[in-house]
Amino acid sequence: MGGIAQKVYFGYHADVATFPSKPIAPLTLETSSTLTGELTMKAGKRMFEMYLTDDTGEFKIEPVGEVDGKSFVTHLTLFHPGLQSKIRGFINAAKNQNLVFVVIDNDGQKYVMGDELRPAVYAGSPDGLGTGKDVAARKGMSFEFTYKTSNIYAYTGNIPLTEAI
Amino acid sequence: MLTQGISLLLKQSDINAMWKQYFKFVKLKPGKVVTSQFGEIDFSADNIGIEIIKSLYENGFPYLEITKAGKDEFDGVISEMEINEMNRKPNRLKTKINI
Repeated sequence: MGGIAQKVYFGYHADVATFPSKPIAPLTLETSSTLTGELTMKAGKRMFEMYLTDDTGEFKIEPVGEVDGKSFVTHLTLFHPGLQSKIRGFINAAKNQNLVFVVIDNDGQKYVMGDELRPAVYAGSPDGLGTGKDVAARKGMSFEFTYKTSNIYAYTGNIPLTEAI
Repeated sequence: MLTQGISLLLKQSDINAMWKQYFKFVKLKPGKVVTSQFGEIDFSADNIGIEIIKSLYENGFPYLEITKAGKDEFDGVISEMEINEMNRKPNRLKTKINI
């Protein structure tokens, strides 16, 4: 089943206490593509959820680099309906911040965008931000976030949506 | 029959309401966690199914600790699981020494 779930989860990169670990000397292809451990937040910090309009979200993996130096840029694109205070606050805070995302696809597979060294960042709004022109237009905010990574891993841990103590 | 069914349901809901007696939510303020096993669960709620909590704990969910009452209640079950886990470990290789 294609597409991503109707919620993505995000936090500030600086608020993360521990990232899940990348595999070391994996014995199988499956384990070589799976992170171990938990994404945990610093005391007083938490992750947040963001709603997206169904069928507007995508997690896309773009291979980049020269021969023998290939890596990936992952792209998360989504559309959030409306221009409420919460989403305005989000774009105000996130536009120049280092972020971390957990994206869940429609098969329940989770992907983390962000690691100890590299964050996910706001790359723009491919379908715009605003009210639209006519009455039937779709009002809201579209987002694209990117994260550069050497490999693609799945995350099998949990997502804390309440403050760490 | 119906009365029996209702009393069974009541018993189960009583047990569910008691999960906090058997397990302690730790490292986070009580609230929502998207669990890898069961999706989003609000741990501030009292009525989470005890089977769900037990399964999370047994599968290494990092935000639950078992209480003394929980150990007393579920000790047999968890010990059995630990025994099964031990049985799954491969036997040590026995090497023959030729003289």
